[in-house]
Amino acid sequence: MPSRDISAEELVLNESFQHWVRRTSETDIAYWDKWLGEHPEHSATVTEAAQLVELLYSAAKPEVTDERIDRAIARVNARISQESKPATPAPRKSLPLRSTWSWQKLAAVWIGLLLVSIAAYWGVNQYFYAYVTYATAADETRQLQLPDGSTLVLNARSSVRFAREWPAGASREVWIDGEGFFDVKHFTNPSRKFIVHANQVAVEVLGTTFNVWQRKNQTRVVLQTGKVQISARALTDTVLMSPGELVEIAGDTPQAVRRPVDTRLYTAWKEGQLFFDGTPMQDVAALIEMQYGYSVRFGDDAIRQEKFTYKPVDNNLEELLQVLQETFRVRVDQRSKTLRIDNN
Amino acid sequence: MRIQQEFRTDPELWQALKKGDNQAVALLMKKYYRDLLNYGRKISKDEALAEDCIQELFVELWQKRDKLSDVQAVKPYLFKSLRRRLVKAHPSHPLTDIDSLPEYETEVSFSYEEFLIHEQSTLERKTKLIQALNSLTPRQREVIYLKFYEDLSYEQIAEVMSLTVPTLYDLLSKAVKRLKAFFSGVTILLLICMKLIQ
Repeated sequence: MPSRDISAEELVLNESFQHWVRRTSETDIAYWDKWLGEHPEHSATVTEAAQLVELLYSAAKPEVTDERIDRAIARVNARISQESKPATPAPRKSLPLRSTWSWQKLAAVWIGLLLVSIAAYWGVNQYFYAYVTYATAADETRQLQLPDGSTLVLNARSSVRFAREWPAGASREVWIDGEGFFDVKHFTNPSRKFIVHANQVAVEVLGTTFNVWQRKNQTRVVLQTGKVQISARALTDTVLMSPGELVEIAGDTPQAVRRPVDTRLYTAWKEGQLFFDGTPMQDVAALIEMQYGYSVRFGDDAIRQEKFTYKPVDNNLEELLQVLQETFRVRVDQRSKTLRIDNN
Repeated sequence: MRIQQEFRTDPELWQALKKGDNQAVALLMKKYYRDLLNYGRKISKDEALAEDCIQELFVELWQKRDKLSDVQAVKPYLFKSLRRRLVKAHPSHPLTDIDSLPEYETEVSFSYEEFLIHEQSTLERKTKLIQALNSLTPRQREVIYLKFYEDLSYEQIAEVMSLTVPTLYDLLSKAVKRLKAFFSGVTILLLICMKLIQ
């Protein structure tokens, strides 16, 4: 595709682009990855188009049960075996194939439809009237005020959702997808819990500042001040965090990983400035994963503990990789968005 | 032997059918009955009629197996035959008719809690998508359906709907424009609501 102005519609309609979004063709994946790298100015349009394509493909089809298919096959087989001599078309409707619907089935269908409509109505209602959603683009952070006066800085490519009003005495709940830094107002009333939901992880707060990061099924919480308690469906126990700690919950792993970190490192994105100051490589890796969406592998586990000091001029990955390359051997796989770091 | 048969490609199954292997009919049905029924009941509101037509279609394939041409793309062939049958069964309601393609229904298959916690955004987006799809014309909706739900190529869709590719492309680009407008419209509406309340 030439480098003129392109519209999201054009991309949505492009079959090769559709293959790229769904990762179904190696050639198209390579083509569009390369194209995107060469045309970063189109990334907003591409994101919009990709979301629409994904959404269109995601809609569920109504289910047809296997029994129903087997019944149909049996009926057709019965017809076929009756025809000893082929090529003489049977008169239409000679044998009624119409399945008979009992009143129970009809009633079940009507009840189903009714429930579906109620759920849809409820969903739309909730969506339009009770909750607000904020989302950020790829290069945007946003400061938000929550209904109780707490604040939230939302990092790029993230969204957050909460009730428009938080009644006094009720718990305060926020759903986040992506990354955000919370500064939570403290109330003495214990029923005024503040809970952040990230994927299947819940962070319960008692007046505090902390960072929540969630992508796919990984969640990382970094606590700056105060106290938070984390529970997750996968975890056997809840985790009570102390300031200066990082807790990581990965998918269904029943044990959370916790370790002390320099919290400034994990909240530097708020000021739009990353820095590394004797930072262990494993934290550098976590930061690259969180900030740029690459997963990082180490060729040798010993590298994890090596210290890295650098203050980037620009906050881009290329610059960081160049500097890392002075010490390590860094290989980048654009397709799987993976970095591999080995000793030189 | 049975297991091997499952792995036969569409053109292979087609050849087997032509040679009189009645197992091929069952295998093709196993593979495409679900898709055909979903498509059929979008075209005709009469689900039982759609089912009749599909079964009739396979019976006739078997009966006319000697005269069948060599078909490579079996799925679009089946879709096209079904579509023709349904149009024939409803001569007063050709597919170009405004209400011939029924509205998309909402699918809710998860529990209340799941809905609340982590499927929330998906359901919202789906509800919005359904509204958007229902704002399209039936033909636009059919094209979108065949493209994104049945994953047919543009050439195959043109074949199924008896259109030329440029006409189809025109139809699709209008549909996508509308969908996009609908989505940005909703976002704008939301922003306005938020502004009013704050």
